[in-house]
Amino acid sequence: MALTEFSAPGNLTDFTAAEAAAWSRFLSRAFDERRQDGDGSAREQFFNPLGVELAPDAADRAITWSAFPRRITLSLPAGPARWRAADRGRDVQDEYCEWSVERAAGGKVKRVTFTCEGPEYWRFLANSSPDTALALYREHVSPSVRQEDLFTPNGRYIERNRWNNGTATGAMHLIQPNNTLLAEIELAAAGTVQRQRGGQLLTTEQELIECSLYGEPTRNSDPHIGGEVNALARAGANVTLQNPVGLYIDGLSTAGWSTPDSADPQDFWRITRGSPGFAVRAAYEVMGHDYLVGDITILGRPIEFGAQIVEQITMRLTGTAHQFGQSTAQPRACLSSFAGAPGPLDVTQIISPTQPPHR
Amino acid sequence: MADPAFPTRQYPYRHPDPTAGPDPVATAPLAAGVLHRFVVGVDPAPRPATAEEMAALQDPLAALLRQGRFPLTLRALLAALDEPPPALPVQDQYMVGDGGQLPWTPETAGVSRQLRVVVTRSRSAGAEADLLVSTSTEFDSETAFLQVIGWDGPAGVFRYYERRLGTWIVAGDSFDALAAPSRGRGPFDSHVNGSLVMKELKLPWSHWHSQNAAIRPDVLAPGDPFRDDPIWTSRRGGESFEVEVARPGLFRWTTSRMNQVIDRSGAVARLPELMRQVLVTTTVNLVSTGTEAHLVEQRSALEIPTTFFLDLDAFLGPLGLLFEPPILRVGGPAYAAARTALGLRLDDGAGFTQPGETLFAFLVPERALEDQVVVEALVQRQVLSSRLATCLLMVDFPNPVYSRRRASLMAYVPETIRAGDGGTALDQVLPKAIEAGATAADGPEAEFLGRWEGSDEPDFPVRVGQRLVGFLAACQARLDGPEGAADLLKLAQGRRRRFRRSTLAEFALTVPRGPDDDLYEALRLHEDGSVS
Repeated sequence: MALTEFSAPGNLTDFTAAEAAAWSRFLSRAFDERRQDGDGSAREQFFNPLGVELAPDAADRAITWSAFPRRITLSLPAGPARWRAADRGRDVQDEYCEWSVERAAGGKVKRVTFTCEGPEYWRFLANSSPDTALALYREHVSPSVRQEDLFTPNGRYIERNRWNNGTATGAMHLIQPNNTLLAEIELAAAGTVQRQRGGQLLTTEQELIECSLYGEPTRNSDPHIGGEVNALARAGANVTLQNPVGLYIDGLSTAGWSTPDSADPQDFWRITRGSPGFAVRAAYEVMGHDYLVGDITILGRPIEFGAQIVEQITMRLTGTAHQFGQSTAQPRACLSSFAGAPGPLDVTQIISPTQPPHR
Repeated sequence: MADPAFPTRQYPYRHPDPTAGPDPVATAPLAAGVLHRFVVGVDPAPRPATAEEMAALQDPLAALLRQGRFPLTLRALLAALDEPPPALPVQDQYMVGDGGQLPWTPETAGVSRQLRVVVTRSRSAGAEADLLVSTSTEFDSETAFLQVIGWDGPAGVFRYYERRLGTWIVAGDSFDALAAPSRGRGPFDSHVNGSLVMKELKLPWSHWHSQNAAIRPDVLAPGDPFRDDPIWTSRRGGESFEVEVARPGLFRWTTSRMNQVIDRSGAVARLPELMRQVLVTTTVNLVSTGTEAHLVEQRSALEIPTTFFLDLDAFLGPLGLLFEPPILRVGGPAYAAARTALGLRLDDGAGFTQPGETLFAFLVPERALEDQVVVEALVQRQVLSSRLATCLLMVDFPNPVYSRRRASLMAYVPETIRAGDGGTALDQVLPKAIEAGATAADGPEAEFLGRWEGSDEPDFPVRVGQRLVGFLAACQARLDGPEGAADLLKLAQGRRRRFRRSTLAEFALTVPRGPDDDLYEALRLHEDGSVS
């Protein structure tokens, strides 16, 4: 059956019916606009799934990557120096997973929270339903959050507010500049364009991202997402993103972890937002035992940094492809410069279901 | 009969003495449905395992075999594991192939890409892999190589099996890897210290299907049914294998090993086997830049892994030094020119050659994680002080792998020692023994003693860090010079040549080769950054 409306990321239920409809229109517009490449040509193998009856050969392809920032992995050896660097600030947490560490008196890690919720969602929700946003902050970040912490005097939502601006006071949603939902859609869309240079079809992740000028080449995620989508395009398929469109926490491995009382370390991992299989928020916290996260070891080393846990987290998005072998799109030359992806769309301007999306 | 697609892949049963005649198990059939034991070096030939031996095996495969279930193909094995015991319901699969980036074309159809599949089974999601399977892509074959490693919790070892000649053969356990007559033989030619092996352990996990480089369907021949197999379509990346399987597996075995060789009084048995992993390059991992080799020329600079120059993982890890190492870079065009001048190529030895390198540039040996985790464990268990470990590893530090100077210090390691008090006992014994053996003024003993003197001063770690940073600066100055890229690659080729002579090097396409590699094997890096 054809998709009639985009769901909220993670199948979250924060929206009113009107907001849900507006969100769907926002995504639909984003998909439509990203069918155009940086040089103005059409991205023939990318499609907006709304209203599209998928062919019988439709297949979902999960694309996964490590949540730990690649640039830090390459520049520092494994161990405390690397973990400290990744815990230092949200702006280095660029793999669509950001986190905050809560410590007990004495400095031991008590709880680490992880989010992959896009800023667009929160910009939209907070400006549309401020009370809902405030309640969610109080539930997931701190009961001490006040309305004035989140909103300007004229009621505008502050994305980098004091409860969502660092690695010690909470992380409600993504704020690293490249960690956006629209970036995900752009990567998927741009990745569908087959490329050639000198008559040679390009297939590797680095040459593709440099040729198509999408994303950030030094990350785990962007070259990989583009490369995997491009492989589907080379198979002659038409490609989109699976509903609910979003970036998700795929899982946590606790192999090599040890707890003081031999409890299963997986027991302390909780998905706190998102439906099963579509986790957008998680927390690692010991409950019901007389010790803290900092008393748990990973490969013999106590957890002293949130980044130690992040090294064990996998992220995911899912592409949907169909009509394999049917596309007639031909490989194109590399882009010489990037005109820029459309947008960003201003989600705050599409709250009213009767109001057309605003660019 | 050996697997023709993987002639080096099956455990080497043949006696190393060429005059000993043909491999005794090469063709002789074994009794089906009977577990055989063949620990090469210990057993003269495969023989049925005794009832007592069977009862002692507490790993998952043994649990299966004890029930008389002898699956002979991968599919049969996985189906058998779906019916507990053993209860290992969670399965993951990974792919690695040293030619896994070579697209299939009529011209490359004959190239053996050495595609292997690794399947893991665990008790629950996120838990350690208790059983690992390594095999080819022929899942229904009863002759393609099929090997299993199982974790035996009560014994605290990994156990190694191979399905061969119609039945299963147990080939030894982790402890068999450590000592003669089985060391280096059978499965322990690559599982050198008895643990799991992931040669290309770190980002970008060269040769592995990973988030940095997929093994794509276009490496398979058109119509190859494997591309529709769930094991192919759900293959996970090397980044997951590193974090979820390889590192935890190494830690698991090392922890168990330490628990078994250090008694309650702190007496450490088998100390030379432990110290061998401090002083000797028992095996290596392969590490590379994160840059695809064919793009190097377009880069203004290529970032070289620092572990090529020194044992950074040890110094900044278990040894606890605090210094900020600079990232060393070499000009991209200069590197590409040197690569061409040295004639580097991939060569499968069977007619396929391709100029250049593996997918990622500068794939070179580095000190193995399995040696690093032993250093860390020895320091944590207070067998070895970080001070003594630092002084030992500072001997010939510009050559973090294949250092004969450092390895020669093994002659002074005592048979046993007592752990505790920060490693004081070994601090008192080993330096004295080295001092007593010092003869040449420029020998490794004298070099060690020069480090040891003054190492008890509070600023010792700072001084070492400064020295290492100075060394890296000298290396960078050399890299910036006219011969910098060429010297770097010659040194790399020498180390690759040394790697290729090891039993770990099973496949011709693993690292690039050049016509003059033999000349470079003796090259050494010096503290002033020069290579000679």
